[in-house]
Amino acid sequence: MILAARLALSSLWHERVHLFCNVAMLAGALVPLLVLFGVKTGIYRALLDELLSDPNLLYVTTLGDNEFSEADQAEIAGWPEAAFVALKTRAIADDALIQPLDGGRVGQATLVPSGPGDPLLPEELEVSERRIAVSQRLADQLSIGAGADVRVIGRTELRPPLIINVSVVAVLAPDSSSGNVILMTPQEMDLFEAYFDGYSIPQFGLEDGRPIEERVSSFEGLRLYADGLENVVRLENRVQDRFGVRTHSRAQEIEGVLALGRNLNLAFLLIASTAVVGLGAALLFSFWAEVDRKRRVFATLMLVGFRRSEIAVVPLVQAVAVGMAGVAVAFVLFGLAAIGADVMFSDRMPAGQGVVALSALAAVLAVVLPLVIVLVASLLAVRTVLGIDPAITLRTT
Amino acid sequence: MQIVLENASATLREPGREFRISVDDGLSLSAGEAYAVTGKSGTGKTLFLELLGLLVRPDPGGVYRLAHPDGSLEDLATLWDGARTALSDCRARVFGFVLQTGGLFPFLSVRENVALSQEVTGRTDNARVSDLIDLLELGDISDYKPDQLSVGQRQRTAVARALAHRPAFVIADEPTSALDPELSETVIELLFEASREDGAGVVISTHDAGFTRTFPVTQLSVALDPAAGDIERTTSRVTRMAA
Repeated sequence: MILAARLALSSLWHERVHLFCNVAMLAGALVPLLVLFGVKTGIYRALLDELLSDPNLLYVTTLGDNEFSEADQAEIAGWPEAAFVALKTRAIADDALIQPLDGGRVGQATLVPSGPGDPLLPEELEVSERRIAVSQRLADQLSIGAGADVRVIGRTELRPPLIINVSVVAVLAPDSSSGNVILMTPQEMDLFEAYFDGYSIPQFGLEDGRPIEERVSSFEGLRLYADGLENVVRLENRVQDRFGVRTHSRAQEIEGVLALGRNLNLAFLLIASTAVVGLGAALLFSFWAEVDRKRRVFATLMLVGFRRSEIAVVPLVQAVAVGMAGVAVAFVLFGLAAIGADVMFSDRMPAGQGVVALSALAAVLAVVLPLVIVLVASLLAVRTVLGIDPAITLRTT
Repeated sequence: MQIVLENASATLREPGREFRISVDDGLSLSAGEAYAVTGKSGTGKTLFLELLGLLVRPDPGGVYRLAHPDGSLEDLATLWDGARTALSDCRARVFGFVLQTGGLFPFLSVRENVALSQEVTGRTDNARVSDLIDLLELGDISDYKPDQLSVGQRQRTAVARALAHRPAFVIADEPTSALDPELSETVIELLFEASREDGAGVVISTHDAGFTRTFPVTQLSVALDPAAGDIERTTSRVTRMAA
């Protein structure tokens, strides 16, 4: 078998003009496909990255006055479409004041429910009891940063203020929120709602009002994040179906981009399919013609004592060699094309992103698929070799 | 080693035509002897060599055996049954072939062509390759590819390749048909000389009856049998001629 493979390569190299023709044929089909796929991926990825750079793209919120419980939150947290869910208190209780403990300016902010896994927070950080996060704008206004101790104040003219002293564990990235925002646990936000509803909150020195024990916590809405772009619509639909509530998201905007991606993929698949069929047919007949032209050589190999199964290896080895050489040449040319495209168009792309992009998986497929194509295309040649009768061939050729 | 044929025949079937070569009487060919298969063109010399060289399947009913020096018999006709692996192996082991036009591999040098029959049979022997190259006066061109050789050089290379793996028999189908008479004689001489040194039998086909007078060979005559056949069905018989 090894001897037959060696002879196959010797023969291939001896007639390298045919080798170059087949390699050129293969590279000629592969390079445009690689460049097309690379450009499609690069530009689409840039578009997606631009979208995803907004952390609130995956945000889904409920509209209207609803009633959700912690059990609902736990149920949604188990859905594969959901990456994060937090219970929202009533909008009336969302406003609070904030001031550094060591004095200074007082800021006004909106309370936003948060918890473990909040996409607006760095991975290793989370808000918890007495630990909040603030938006960049609010931090700038108050001249505070992570580690600052602040007081969060609920105020109404009807009763003394509710003051909760907390630490700032994180300042949100600038693009996470444009306003004055405090991320806080829903449980602490619920205290503010209880405060505005006139309940007593003895642990913070507010003894007046209705007994807090009589209060049943209920949350007006949900703050949701989908697990990926494709899940925004699914999550929104599932929440609507399950709870019968209205929702809002940027699903339409996302769907537009995803539809563009799907259409680009479809267009690429059509082009690639056509190219693969054409390439396969060209290689099929090229390999078959090679074998047919060399019938006498194959017959003589049988005469010398090679087994049919060994000789059948010859077109296979030659096809693989053509495939590998074709793929190698295609990747070199693709690399040059990618460099050229980057030089010409990089100023129109986000910083650090190439116009042409090829993922590792796509690169592996770009190697494996052509090899599969050449192997399949060589099967007719193999069949022809297996059918050679040395006596008839030597007699007639 | 001997090839033993009894009532052996082979049939070549083509559209509208059936051609049969028959060895009616017992025929044995011994290693170390030279045989000339003579007959006019179209009488079936090549078919007879193909029968001998395990290239065509013998018709049922005949005997085609190999008698080994230790007395054991190997039935070569049965090699056609089942997988052809044993057939290929036997062909490589027992025979060397010289074709009319050399049949060299264009992608291998002279030395590589000669060594190939050894590699196929696992009988690698570089010294023998060198000896044959010297004997057949191919030393100066041993690195050349066939397309750089003259016809005579190609035939000498083919002879060296046929002998390199020390086969028991060399089958040569009109190996000098493309050569001028003087060069023909030289190539035949070299073939016989090299075979004699190895103790190999040589079976050589030729349509030139004069050849049998020049070289000490046993003549096997192939001739159409006028009594057995018509236009569609032709039979030739192989007969050992008296010395």
